[in-house]
Amino acid sequence: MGRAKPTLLTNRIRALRFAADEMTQQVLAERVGVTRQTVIAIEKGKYSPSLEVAFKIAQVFNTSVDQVFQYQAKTPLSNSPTED
Amino acid sequence: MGYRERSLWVSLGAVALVDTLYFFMVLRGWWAGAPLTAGGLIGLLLGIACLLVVIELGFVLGNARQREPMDERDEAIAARAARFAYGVFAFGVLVALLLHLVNQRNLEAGGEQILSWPLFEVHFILASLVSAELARFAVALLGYRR
Repeated sequence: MGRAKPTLLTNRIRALRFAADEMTQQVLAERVGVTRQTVIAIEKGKYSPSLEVAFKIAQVFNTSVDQVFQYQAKTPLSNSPTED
Repeated sequence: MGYRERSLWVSLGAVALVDTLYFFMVLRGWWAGAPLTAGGLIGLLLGIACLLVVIELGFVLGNARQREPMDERDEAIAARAARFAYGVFAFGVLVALLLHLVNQRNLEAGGEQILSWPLFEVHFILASLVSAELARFAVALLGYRR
């Protein structure tokens, strides 16, 4: 099997945890409803969570999803509508 | 290492150990020219099934406190591993089918079978199933590691 593709999502979970009274990964995992290993994988950028988990993480830190996760596109995405 | 990873390692080790034992007994019989009888094979199969259950149950009971439900990442890893294992098993079944057809053609042409061991094709399919299970555990472990 080949190496895993690095995710294009970056996140600020670690910083947000420390800002929230140094919340542990275990506590965050319990509040979101995932395992600690999944929190570790998300923090390291090895796993992109579902939208539901992303929203739950943002909710735990009382912030918005885009304050937690950022998408780093390799090439700029076009905003212009496509012509049929 | 999380509960699920440890569980996968135990399953991988148990299946590898128990099925190596099974195929060693079967091959030893073939090579010695005294293959196991149907009754012997059934007994051996029941024996390895019991051994597997004991090992798995021992792990589950010994780690009851650490047990945790699957989350979305666990499910994604399990699904990827199952897809890979399906491919391994399907390949094994196709090879077994091909062997059967070649043997059949040889017999019809008055020749000899490639491998005339009793229940060879059945054991080939069983070996494919075991390989698929081992592949499933290995791919899942890789999924947790990367």
